[in-house]
Amino acid sequence: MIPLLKLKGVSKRFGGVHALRQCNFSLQSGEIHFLIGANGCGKSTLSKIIVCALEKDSGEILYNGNPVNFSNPGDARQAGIDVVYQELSLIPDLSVQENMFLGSRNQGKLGFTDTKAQEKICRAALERFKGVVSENLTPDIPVNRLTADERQIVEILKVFIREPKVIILDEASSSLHSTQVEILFNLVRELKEKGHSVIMISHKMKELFEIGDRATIIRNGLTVATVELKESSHEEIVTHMVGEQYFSADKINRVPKDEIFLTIKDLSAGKLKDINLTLFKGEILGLSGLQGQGQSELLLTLFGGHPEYKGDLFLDGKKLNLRSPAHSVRDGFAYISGDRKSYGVFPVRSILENTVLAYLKKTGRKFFSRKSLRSEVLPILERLDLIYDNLDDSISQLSGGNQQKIIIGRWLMTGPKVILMDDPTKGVDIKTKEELYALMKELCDTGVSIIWNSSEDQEILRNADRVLVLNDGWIVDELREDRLSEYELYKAAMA
Amino acid sequence: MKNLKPVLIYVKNPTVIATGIALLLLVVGEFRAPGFAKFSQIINMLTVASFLGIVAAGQNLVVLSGKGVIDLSVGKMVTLGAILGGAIANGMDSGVVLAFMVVMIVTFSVGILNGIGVTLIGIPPLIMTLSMGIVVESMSRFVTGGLAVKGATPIMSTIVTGRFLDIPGIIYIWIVFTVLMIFFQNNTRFGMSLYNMGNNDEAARLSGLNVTWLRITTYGLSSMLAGLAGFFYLGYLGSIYNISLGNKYTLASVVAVVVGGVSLSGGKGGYLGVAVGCILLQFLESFLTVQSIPPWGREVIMGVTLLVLLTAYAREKKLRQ
Amino acid sequence: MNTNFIKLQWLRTGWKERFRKAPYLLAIAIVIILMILLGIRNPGYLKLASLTIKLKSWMPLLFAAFGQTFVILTGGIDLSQGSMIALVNVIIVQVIMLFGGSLPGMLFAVSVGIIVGTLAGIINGLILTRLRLQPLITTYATGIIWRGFALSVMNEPGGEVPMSFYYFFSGSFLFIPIPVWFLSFIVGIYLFLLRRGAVTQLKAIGGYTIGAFESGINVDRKRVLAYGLSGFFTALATIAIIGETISGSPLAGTGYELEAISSAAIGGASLSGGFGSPIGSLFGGIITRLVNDVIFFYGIDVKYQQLMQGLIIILALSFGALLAQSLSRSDK
Repeated sequence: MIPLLKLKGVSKRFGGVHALRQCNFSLQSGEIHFLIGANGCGKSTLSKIIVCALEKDSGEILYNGNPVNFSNPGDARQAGIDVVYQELSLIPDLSVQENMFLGSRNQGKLGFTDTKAQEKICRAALERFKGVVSENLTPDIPVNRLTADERQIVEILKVFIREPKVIILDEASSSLHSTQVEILFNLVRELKEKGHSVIMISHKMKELFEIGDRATIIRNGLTVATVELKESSHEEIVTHMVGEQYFSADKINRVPKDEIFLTIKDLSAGKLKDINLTLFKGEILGLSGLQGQGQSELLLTLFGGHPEYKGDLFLDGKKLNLRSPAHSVRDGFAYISGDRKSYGVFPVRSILENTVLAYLKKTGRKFFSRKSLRSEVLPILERLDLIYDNLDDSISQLSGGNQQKIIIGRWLMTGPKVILMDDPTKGVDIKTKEELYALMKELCDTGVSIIWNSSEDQEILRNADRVLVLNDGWIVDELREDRLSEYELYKAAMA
Repeated sequence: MKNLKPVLIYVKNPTVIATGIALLLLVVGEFRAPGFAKFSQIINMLTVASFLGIVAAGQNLVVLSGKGVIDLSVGKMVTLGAILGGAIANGMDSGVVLAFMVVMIVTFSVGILNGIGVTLIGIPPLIMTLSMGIVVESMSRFVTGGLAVKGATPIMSTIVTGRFLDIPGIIYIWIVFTVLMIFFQNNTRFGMSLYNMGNNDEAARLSGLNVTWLRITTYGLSSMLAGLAGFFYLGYLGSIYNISLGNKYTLASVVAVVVGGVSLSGGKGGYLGVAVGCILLQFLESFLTVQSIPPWGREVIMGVTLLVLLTAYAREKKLRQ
Repeated sequence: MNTNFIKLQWLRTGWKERFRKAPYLLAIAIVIILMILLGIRNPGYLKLASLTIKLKSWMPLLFAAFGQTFVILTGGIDLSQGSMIALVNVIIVQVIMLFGGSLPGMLFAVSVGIIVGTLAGIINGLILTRLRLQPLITTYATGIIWRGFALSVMNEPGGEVPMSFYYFFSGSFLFIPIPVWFLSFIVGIYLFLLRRGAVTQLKAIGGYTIGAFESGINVDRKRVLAYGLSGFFTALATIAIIGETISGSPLAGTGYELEAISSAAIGGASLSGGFGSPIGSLFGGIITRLVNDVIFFYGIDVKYQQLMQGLIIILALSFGALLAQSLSRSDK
């Protein structure tokens, strides 16, 4: 049987980074095919290349057996291939209905849009999610008024109303509740019954075995295996995902810490409710739970991102006032985000400038010579084992992991007391990850404390001293010692 | 091939391109109209360029500080600087210092208002500074009260046009100013902060910078530099003949900044390039004037040259990478 | 992490909702207030005949602002409008004189003018999209070129157009004044584009370009369309200008682009794109003109006129910006 869609030797580079290397992939009619792999392994890149939202460097795409070369996603849509984008393709100021029909052919007379007919389709589509979304979700509400899960649903429906031959769901379930996911799966199954194909990108093993037919595993931009899910197991897939560098979660000796460093009493801000916690000196405190339960908000609040918070905080006995990042930096906080593009790097600026800014601000230095700055930066970069050509090169030339090292270096220069990390290893390769963990431990030995939110449960269970589990803005459990296991974590997170 | 890479980077540098074109203009100009590249002629062109140079410095700082951040009130601010300076000094050398101080303070304050409108109130920079321009122009009119203002005082004229080694004072001023600007951009925290916040506003905030305050101050500086240019311009002209005196500087400063390799998306481009950009624009204008090209042809060539320069190094990223 | 400065909490949420749906409501409210102010001072101002004359003199700005808005919606800007006016102006006048002021000649000239304006706009769009340049500086550069071409057609103000051109704009057809016909015409074009979904697509491009691209919109082509529309309406503005001046000038239109942009902003359009309406810009344009009249009729010293004008515009913009801020806050 000719596959509906076939990719042969597709490669893609961003600057010096290989996102995809000689990828091969084939999709049969009427199958649900998963693409899985670690964060940043190239899954999203692959899906964007299929619809030509990104240009491939080399390789071939066959659709119905014929080579295709779309010039933009509009062409791909005409041919019946459509994507539910991970970052969503919705326009904030436009209404739900306008978004759903954006870019589609007009059906009305004289090529006019038939708003009545559109509204009907839109309402019928929204009807599918009735009961699991708020009453708010109507065709005429602007998308920027919706919550994250509602936006995701609109993005999903936007694609489903067209009933494309091939539908690509890029992490479409990550911000949905389980009841909503169930409805999404029903939609997917219906399409499958009609003989359409679905490519799903997901991190959730449960989903994979629930509705998937086959899965292709991508590792570091390579398609390493395609498996029949009926004949496969959880272990086999994980083995493919991590390759030979598979570590068992061995028990690590943790030295208990007892010197209280940071105390938070009854902190409420945004989503957070009555957070009480103590952080010990030299400790790695993990934050976990399902994604988006307030972990990031807690870190941002500590970094002065929610000046209207309520509650009392004491660092080393001193009362804190978290008015702005500038204040938090002065108090000895540092903030490292996994979303380097938005919150971390200055992409066109040099490695040097990316390293020193916070340091200059903290030390109150207004003038400097570049030469002396260089000599101050070098020891820090050496400590980070950073490989680079020249301090004046732009930071964008480095890989994600090395960029993250620079950001860490930026904060190390300020001599922080508490480092706030929001999923810092996102999109970082395995080797650099291990280096980062080692570095975190090393820092803790020097008396620095770390609050660390991670979306990777294993890394946090392996490396944190204690893990706090958050659910809907509350701290619902504290895991330590023997209870540091995935089982306990899920039990608390799902409760 | 590998050895060529550093050379290529050098050749693609906007400052180098702009300098190359400026020199080429001199050579071709001299060839077509002998005397064009004469020392005195070059000095004249540099003198005229120096005022734009000072205005463009302010624009440079503002544009650096973020995507779409721009100051379109600078032209009117040049006029205000000149008129206010003239009115306060009132033709007497004894009043020059006071006049200078007042011009600096007033223009700086108006710039601060621009900054507040843009940051705290959230009016888009383009329209905020444009509207402020209207207010500033009426301030100028208010100062003159419809009557002619006394012109430059002797000392003002001497500082700007008085020659030392056949070179007028303003050029020395500009050279010193250029050195200061380059120092400011490369060796001060303020300067470095502008580049970084222009590149990624949120990351700068999260590095502990007070982005709002920085941007407000930058608008203040931009206006003040325009006022300073106006003050010198008065010394150059000797008297003020009309209220639209400085208007041409508004967009010329933006063009000079872009031609000098500053990205309108923010975060990129230094003053050396901008200064060369100002010189290049002046050379181009003079070049087109001395050629026997009709006025319309000059305009068209000017526009096309701009587009070519933009295409050479101010292109945006592709939508589909 | 917004800099919360002034929160418009006294504004009821219901009203905020309404403003969100129709960003030009604020502009309409200001127009009404200004009209009332004028009516109190000078009741004659509000008479139909006098308003018709006013409308005729406002037309050039209204058309320019209308056209500018399509570009602004995509997140762009058209600084070449003023020069485009000059170019179209001299071409129309030259062609009319070529045909000795005959009616077919005038019709032909007007068509040529419209074609030239639209083409100039399309060229703007093509340069921007093909070469991937910044709109601000690029349209400034093309503006210099258009002005150059205008000078090549006519190197100084002059030329003559039959008075019938002037009378035409002052007249009426089927008891409805010609300016009203014109306005209805451009609003009709807008409604046509709206029903075709084009306006939504332009907004989408300005709101989130990547999203628009991923949704299958041919972003480049739509941006060219926006600049073409700007050129088209600028040509109409020029025709209205000739109706006032009945002569040609290569210096015509100076400063129009800036007035058009500020009218659009006052009319509720976001200069970063994605939000606004050409109808709002019409009201923005009317406000720009009415403010002058208010200042005039209230006998405010000439010295303060411009100051007042600037301050009122800044005030209107501030209010709009604060409103937008408080709207985006209530999103959470």
